[in-house]
Amino acid sequence: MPDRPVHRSADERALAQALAEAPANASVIPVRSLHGRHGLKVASQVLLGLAIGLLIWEVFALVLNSNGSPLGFPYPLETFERLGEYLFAGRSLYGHSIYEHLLASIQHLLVAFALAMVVGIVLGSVLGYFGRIYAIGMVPVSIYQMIPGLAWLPVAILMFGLGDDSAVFIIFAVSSMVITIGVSSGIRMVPPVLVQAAKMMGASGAAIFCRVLVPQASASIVNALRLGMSSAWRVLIAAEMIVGTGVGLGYSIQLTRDLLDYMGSFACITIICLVGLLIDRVVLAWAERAMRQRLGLEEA
Amino acid sequence: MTLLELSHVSQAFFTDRKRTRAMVALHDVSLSIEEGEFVSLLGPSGCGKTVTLSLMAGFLQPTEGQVTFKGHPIAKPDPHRGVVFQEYSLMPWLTVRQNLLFALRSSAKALGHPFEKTSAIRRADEALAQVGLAHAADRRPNTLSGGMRQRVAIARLLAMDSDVFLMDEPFSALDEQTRSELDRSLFELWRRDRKTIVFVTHNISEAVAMSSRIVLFSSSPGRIIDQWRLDEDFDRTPGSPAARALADQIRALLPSTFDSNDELEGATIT
Ligand SMILES: Nc1ncnc2c1ncn2[C@@H]1O[C@H](COP(=O)(O)OP(=O)(O)OP(=O)(O)O)[C@@H](O)[C@H]1O
Ligand SMILES: [Mg+2]
Repeated sequence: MPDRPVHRSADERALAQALAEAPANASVIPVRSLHGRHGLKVASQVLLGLAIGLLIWEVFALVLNSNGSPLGFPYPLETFERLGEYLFAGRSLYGHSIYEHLLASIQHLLVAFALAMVVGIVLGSVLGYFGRIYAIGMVPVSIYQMIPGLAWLPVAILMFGLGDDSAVFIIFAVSSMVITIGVSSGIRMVPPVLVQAAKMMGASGAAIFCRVLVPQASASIVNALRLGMSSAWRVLIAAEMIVGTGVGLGYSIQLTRDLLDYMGSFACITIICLVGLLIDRVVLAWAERAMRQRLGLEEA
Repeated sequence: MTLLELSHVSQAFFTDRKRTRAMVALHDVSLSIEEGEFVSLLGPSGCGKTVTLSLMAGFLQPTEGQVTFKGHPIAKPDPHRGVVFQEYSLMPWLTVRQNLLFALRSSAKALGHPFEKTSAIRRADEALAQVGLAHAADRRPNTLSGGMRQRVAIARLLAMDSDVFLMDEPFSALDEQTRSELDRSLFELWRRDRKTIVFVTHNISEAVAMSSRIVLFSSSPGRIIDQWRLDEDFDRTPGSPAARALADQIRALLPSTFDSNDELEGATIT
């Protein structure tokens, strides 16, 4: 039986070609053709995924609307059209432009996140460093962390009444605990041999903390901040919907829903999703990668 | 001069979380290390070699007995007693030179010496040259081979000028060839500078190839069962009649040192 030709992927062919073109003794060789293709591949994967997501939405809308839903389930296209009007044609969303809503939400987020970051890093460091209080301190932290975001509502309203401050408090309560846990476990995961080595060199407790534990844990710390940010973003919308902030994306969703303007709600949901992705995948993922590289944690 | 001394040291550890049982890792160990010696602590896995070294470094306090350095009880680790760990212990976010500078700065501060950056850099580079790694000063540990990492760990002690080098199976994670190369250069280093070295190993030939004294441990509980002094003109070349005779002599003592069969399983004496 004749041998069937072995199928080779594009990657394998590119490598073979590069090898054939390279000088005989080279240990690192350039691969020309693959570089652009990799970007293309990633882009097409993302686009395909996106298309599938939209298709599911479209089918949903078609099915629901064919059943004669009285309100009309918004289709993707008209939602994007509406979003375009909010974004580019200056259409107002109940008294405020979408940018004002977005800005208000981001403001709530940043204030709450900044507070959560300070508390989470300080508390997480203390718990991570002092083994003796870790066992005790983790008890309240895990309890608070178990409380779902909106369950903080009565607490928030008792403390701050209805309005912005309550929303900020709820976001803070959730993300500070997430950050605390991430930071403390990052510090506790530092290999003991590094701490022993530093002790052997005569480093003081403060030096060990600042110059060994924190640098070694900093990728975990950034990762904890990333988790804190995404949980903050998630609870932000819910908090705004409930405590009546008057302006903000969550509040807009609530308002559009009450007024049966579902297309408006969908447009808001879309922008929330886009901004959330932008913050997490672009800004924070980049920060985490940069940190790992700077620290030499990634194998070269 | 006696540098390090363990007198009647026993060490016990709890074996369960409820703290109802303890195991005896070391039992009544007395050992003194003289200045300029190259002492190998040899024994099967789990016989307490690392515990002995941790006591000498000051990471552990003995359950019973006393550990002294230059006649004073050891309270905590300090740069006089440098350690090369079995695991890689360089700070991954620092370059090789920065790792050495970190050591120099920490030790200067701990010992109350002034720290001067330019002279510290010179010392760091000298130490790197001594282990043949002058060219790697600006590299990150994650770009170095295992053998290079351990050489940097040795350079760290050279730069700090520790009085004694406590080395815990520093080359056991490396392949055979790299290990014997590093063994040879460590031995050369010792012959030249007569640094006091305590070298933990469970490899008989490694101990015979380098030591001026071999201390044999047995396990359950860990204790010293024999010692040999190797004088200047002892032929350490692997395979030489003298080296082979000594290795056989040590090996002959081993079976009887294992109290139970599972210890034999765990033993990696080669
Ligand atoms: N911190 C500790 N807590 C509890 N048990 C310990 C501790 N350190 C060591 N031991 C126990 O003491 C015994 C001796 O351990 P040690 O690490 O000194 O062995 P070793 O001779 O270095 O062995 P190896 O060659 O495997 O490194 C072992 O049974 C170990 O489980
Ligand atoms: Mg050990």
